[in-house]
Amino acid sequence: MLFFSFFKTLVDQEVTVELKNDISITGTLKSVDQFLNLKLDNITCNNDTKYPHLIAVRNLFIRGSTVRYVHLKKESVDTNLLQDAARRGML
Amino acid sequence: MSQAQIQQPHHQQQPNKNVDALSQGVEDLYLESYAFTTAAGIVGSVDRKVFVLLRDGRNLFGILRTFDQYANLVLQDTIERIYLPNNRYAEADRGVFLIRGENVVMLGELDIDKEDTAIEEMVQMPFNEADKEWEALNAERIKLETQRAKKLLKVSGLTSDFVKSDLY
Repeated sequence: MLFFSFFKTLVDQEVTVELKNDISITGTLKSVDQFLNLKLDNITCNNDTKYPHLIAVRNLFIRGSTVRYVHLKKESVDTNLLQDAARRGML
Repeated sequence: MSQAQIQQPHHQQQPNKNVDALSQGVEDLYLESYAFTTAAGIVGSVDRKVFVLLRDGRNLFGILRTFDQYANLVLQDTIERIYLPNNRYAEADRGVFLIRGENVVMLGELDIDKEDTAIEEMVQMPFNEADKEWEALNAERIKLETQRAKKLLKVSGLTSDFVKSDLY
């Protein structure tokens, strides 16, 4: 649940989601759920040759199981807090 | 006032109060957590034109009619589209789809004013030809990735996360 809560604090921030098929999608994080499915608004795709229709997409629901990385801005993560929470979760 | 007098109305009211407090609490909890559920993520796209990318690489375009907490989806008037190299594409009518959630990679709501801009510059070709070519490309890719995975494992002990069923 820790990362679910963590992602909830990132709502309305700009994130880049890298999928397991190597494409990256940048957008404003709008929602996240228990499976870490992500909902993005105002998306741009860094290589839209593979899925050219993405330019016509307003908002995108990405299934958590297909995500490899989520790139975040440095200032949007309180690493100390996250570390504390992670350790408390281990106990 | 004796204690008994004070307690009596208290006892009578308590059950009602408790029920109210409880149901109020549950409702708050429900509304608060609803914003971060799968349902909340998808509900806005119901009855809209969406595209769904499946794990096997297929692109489906249709009207989202319903869904559940696993992102199982029902699409109506679905069209399957294949993109091929050199600006070519193909489409086929597929009707109603019930998609099992595990096969969904992403689901996007389409701006119907802009949905065709991607294929305006492309040439449409017959679907069965495109499908054959696409299958061949996939077979090629599976071959390459399997070779690569073997090499990675042998040379550096690394594993590749390529799965044959994941062709998106």
